[in-house]
Amino acid sequence: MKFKLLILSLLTFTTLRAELFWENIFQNYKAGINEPKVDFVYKFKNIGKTNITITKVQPSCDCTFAKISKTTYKPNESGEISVSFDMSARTGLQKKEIRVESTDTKNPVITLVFEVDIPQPFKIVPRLIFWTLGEKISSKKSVITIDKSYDVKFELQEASFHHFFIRLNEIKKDEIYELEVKATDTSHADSISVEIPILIDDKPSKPATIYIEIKDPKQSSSSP
Amino acid sequence: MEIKKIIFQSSLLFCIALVLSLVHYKIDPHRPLLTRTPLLKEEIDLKEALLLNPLWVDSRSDNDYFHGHIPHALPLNEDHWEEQLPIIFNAWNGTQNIVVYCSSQSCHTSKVIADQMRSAGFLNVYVLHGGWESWKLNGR
Repeated sequence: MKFKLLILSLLTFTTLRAELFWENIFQNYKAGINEPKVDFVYKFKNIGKTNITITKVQPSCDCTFAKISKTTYKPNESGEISVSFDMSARTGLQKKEIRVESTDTKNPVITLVFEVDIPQPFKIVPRLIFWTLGEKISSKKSVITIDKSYDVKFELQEASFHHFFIRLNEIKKDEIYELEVKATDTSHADSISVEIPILIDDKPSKPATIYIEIKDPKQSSSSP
Repeated sequence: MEIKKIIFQSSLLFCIALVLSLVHYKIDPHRPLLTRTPLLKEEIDLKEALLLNPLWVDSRSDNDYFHGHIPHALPLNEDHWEEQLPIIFNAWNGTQNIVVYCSSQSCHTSKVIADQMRSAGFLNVYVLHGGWESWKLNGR
């Protein structure tokens, strides 16, 4: 008799399952230049026969904020998770996730995903230029590639610093520039950051920063 | 006859328990890995990383970093890239190996940050296989 009860309770457990139906777990957005943030809404419905509790909503980074108005949902009740993504310091294609844990017996963990394409009107490779102490005096280069959909202008031709000289050369009109950096003396450690003022579609944009340094190879960060 | 019944019922209960535990293992997001995952390109395991005496870079969120990190590791994540990049560049001596880590084997952030660091101009950038979890699992 006890054995039959055990089997019966197991059967009951499997038929009284709790389940959430999500409308759209993947969403995407194409952002404009200097757009600070974007919001997404993930809607769901409890299609099971028992209450479901959302136990955890965990975004994959500090840049994403997720909010749920309440945690427990009755059968047939709908709800939503509001998500806000801070785009301010980012460029390029951004893929972020929100991990949702619940008492859903079929899918106790669901990963909500969104992709945001943030425009990158230009790219500088590399942004860090360095020499080591005593290295032969030479020129090093960064390549600046412009996305043709934008009108990008750099308000810099050349500049001199204590141990460095920099010059911007246009390689292919409105598409590729070369930033030539020359160390004029590598006998002393030195570091500077150079901000290049930029106009995008005739509006001032955040300047591009290049870091230039003469490094001492003997300097070492401590080991654990 | 009674013994046969007991053996049958015990075996059935054992099978049910086995099936339930296998189902639980399958759906448990925190299940331990049964096999060691192979090293990917540019990945390095903890033992090798320690031999390099590297500059450690923590690519997890600032919140995770402040709750615990590898000693002397510096934070560098996409949220604060512009502020943290010059600090890392300044701390790096130009020849030292760099090892980037995130939370665990399943996280992807360390690979993204390592790629961005290479593109920015850093050399000898590796990713720690198993991340922060492997550091803790090794009793560090």
